[in-house]
Amino acid sequence: MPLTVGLRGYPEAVLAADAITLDLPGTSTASAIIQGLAAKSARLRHALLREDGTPRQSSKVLVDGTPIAHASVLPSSGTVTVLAALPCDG
Amino acid sequence: MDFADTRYNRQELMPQLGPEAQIRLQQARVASIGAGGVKSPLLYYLAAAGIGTLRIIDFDHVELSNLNRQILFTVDDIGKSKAERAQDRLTRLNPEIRVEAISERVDEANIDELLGGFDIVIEGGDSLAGRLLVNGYCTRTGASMVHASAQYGYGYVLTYLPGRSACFCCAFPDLPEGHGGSVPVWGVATGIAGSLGAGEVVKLAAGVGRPIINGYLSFSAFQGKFDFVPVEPRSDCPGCCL
Repeated sequence: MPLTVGLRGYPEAVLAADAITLDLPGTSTASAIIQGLAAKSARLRHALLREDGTPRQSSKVLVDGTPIAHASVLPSSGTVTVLAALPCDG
Repeated sequence: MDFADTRYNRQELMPQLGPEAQIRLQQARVASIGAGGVKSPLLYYLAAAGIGTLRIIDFDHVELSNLNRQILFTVDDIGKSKAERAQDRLTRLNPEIRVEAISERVDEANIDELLGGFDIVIEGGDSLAGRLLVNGYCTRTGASMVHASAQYGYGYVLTYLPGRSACFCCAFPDLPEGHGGSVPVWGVATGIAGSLGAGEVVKLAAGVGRPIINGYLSFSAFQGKFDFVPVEPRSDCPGCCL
């Protein structure tokens, strides 16, 4: 099922996009969102996932602006956003 | 009300600050690790606000590619010590404060000497290990820490009050190392992060307002979006063990 995911921080910077559409199963977790986004770019994979392929705790999924646990199933409605960090003093 | 042409008049007129907070700003001792993109506006605003003692620690030298965002410097400064040029620029802005310049890299061996006696540390540096070193120093000594960072068009700001709030490591427990090389960044992003960071320092030093604690403020300049992401202190955090 296509899901529009808003991007903040490093994902928005790397993809130069406000949002992206991911094709996901009907019932998806926050982890699946992060892993789907990570598959778009090697740099995102490095930033979003640990070496074992699981999401970093620093990779956040927000629903209507509130972070949800990685294991949480996405609610049927609400704005989904992925926010991830690669803090650096430029 | 008579017009008063004094340096701090416009902020002393603010009910949140006033003359008493101004005295506290004059008594504050603040150390900044770095004088680069984020720290340029940050340090300008701290000097302008009247922070009594500013220590600037930066081992780096000014390069042409810095000048899209490092507004403390001009082309005349290229090749010169950032700490020393920042000291000169800030002292000319406000000769009533003390500005110290130290051209060294902060490491485990010298961190106590460089940061000792400072109430507030503006964290910075060019590596994750450096950030965690400063986070650990603040945990150990109780100094307050302000983190303000930016790259591309986004950034983060948070304050760490040891023993009272989540630390940098609670907020970012498993960050990757950066990619190395040149960091893409826009001066607007460093300006936003630096201004917000200066606000954190002034609030802490003056003892007013609410610092950004137990979470971080994230912004995306291209999107015009700000998000506060709450963070719980972690009982197993190696950075603070709250």
